[in-house]
Amino acid sequence: MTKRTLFLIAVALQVALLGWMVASSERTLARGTRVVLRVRPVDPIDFMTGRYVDAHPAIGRIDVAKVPLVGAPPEDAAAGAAAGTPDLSRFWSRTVCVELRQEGEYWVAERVVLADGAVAPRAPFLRGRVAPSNGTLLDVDYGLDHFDIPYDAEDPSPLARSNDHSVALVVRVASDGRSVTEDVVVDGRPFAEWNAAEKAKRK
Amino acid sequence: MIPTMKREAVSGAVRQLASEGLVEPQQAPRVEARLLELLFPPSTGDAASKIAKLVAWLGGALVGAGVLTLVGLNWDALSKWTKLALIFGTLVGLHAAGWRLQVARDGGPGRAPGVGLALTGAAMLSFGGAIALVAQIYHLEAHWPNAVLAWWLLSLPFALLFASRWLLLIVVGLFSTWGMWCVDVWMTDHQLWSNEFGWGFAVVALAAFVAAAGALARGSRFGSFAPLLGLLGRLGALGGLFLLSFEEFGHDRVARFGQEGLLADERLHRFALLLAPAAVFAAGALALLAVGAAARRGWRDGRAWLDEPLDVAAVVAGAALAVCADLFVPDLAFLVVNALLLAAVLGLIVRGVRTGRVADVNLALVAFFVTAIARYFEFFSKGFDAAFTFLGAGVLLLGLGYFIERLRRKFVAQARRSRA
Repeated sequence: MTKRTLFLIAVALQVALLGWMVASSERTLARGTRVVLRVRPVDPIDFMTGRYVDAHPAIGRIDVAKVPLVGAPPEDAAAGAAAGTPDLSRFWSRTVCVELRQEGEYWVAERVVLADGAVAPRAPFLRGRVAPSNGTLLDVDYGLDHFDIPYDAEDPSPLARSNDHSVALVVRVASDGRSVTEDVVVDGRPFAEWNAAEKAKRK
Repeated sequence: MIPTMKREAVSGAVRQLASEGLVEPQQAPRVEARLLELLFPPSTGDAASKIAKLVAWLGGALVGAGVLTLVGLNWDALSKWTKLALIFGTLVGLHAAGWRLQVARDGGPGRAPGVGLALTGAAMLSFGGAIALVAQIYHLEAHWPNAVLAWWLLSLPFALLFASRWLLLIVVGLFSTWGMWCVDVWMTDHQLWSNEFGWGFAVVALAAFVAAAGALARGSRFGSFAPLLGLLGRLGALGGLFLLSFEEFGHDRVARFGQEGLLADERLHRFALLLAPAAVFAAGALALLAVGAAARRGWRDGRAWLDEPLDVAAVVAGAALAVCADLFVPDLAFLVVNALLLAAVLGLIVRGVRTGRVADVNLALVAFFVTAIARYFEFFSKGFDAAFTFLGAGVLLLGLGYFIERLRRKFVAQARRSRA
């Protein structure tokens, strides 16, 4: 194999990785189920991708006393059962599928199913990773927290703390639970539209 | 300046030999010219080409930084597809330009290999920008730093293809970033907030991995990478040991657990969690060393085992000793680490002087002075103990110097006697 061929393969590998990232995201955006999640955003900065809204979905913290957790192996299910609360530390870093149900404008958690267990999740569901959890509150990381915004964009985070405004995350969910963020909706308007209106107001 | 002085010294020595009658006066100029030719071979690159390469590299680094900054600004005047086209075009364009300037159409050297290499470096940095841009457009994020993993892994082929130590430096930088990021995720996931101890050992083990990569490269067609990887490994190992050399910084919280019983289950569990990242890197280093040994059928060729393999073995053995000290005598662990640092400094000086590696000697001296200054400020407020420690260590080193000088004189005298 010549040096030129090896060079072309190396470049092709880089382009292929980027192409795969684009294609899989586009596929989910085109074919996934559209769900809207209530969020509590803040506005930090990432050194690679710049400003973003940390749009942590409300279903990132699930009370398993209210939402059933199913599919756990018997030994995990039994742990803590005597105390009346499941021992959630046993599920740390495990993958879970959170089944969703529409409740008015927003989608909420219907049931939590441990991935690769005996119970198959019903679509639509979001795939996530269990973070360190306490008591009956199960923290789940869906990898949806990042909503990147332009460097000079308006910050919608303060609005989420007011009862007069609403900030929501619009997500496309594939049939296998993988998801891609489509938009952040502020007071019912897409982020770009809301941002343009806010900027115009300031001028 | 120094080469000029050395040339003058050679000329003076030849004149002296001619005046002593050991060299015929008419042969002296030819002897001098030949000696100068042998001792000072013409440099492979002139000063102008070196400056051109450095300037090109500065330009390449700025282009890469510019691409990353542009991505970070998230310019909303451009549509998603325009941004994607721009980033794909920039990446492929930089790679193509880098290739064309380094390699001519007939396969020979290109018109400006130095600038071409800098453009390839910029392309490698832009690849990270491209990943970040795609992640930004689709709001992607990952728990583990998989983007940085892909970044260094898919950049490595270019360093190997062009056999460039500059490109390798970028890869090692990205690899180290990925390694440290993984450690951070691990510590956060396990809620290990007092984790300086784990970080120190992780840095040491990561450095051992880099040195082991150097051992793997030595003797292969990428042998020119070995000295750089070895030096970076030594630098990292000294940095990690420096982190662990503080009494309160790296060990006190572990020592607190010692009061509950040195081998208490809770303490051992915490120990295992803190040291897990370091153990993974150390295992990787030993695996690379084993692969290198298998590929080369042992380290028997010449004195190759004295370089990177010895570094890896010394770093892993030293770290294991420090771990044992932390486990069984936590209050004295920092002393063990300081002793290891001193041993490493002396070892590097001895090896550097014997093999003529100035970089190793300089590295050892810098490590020694930085550590000594750190200890001075750390223990200044602790009364006479610090003063006596400094005095004791100083007297010990002076004694060692005296012993080495006596030994050297004895050997020189023996050598002269045997010659006579």
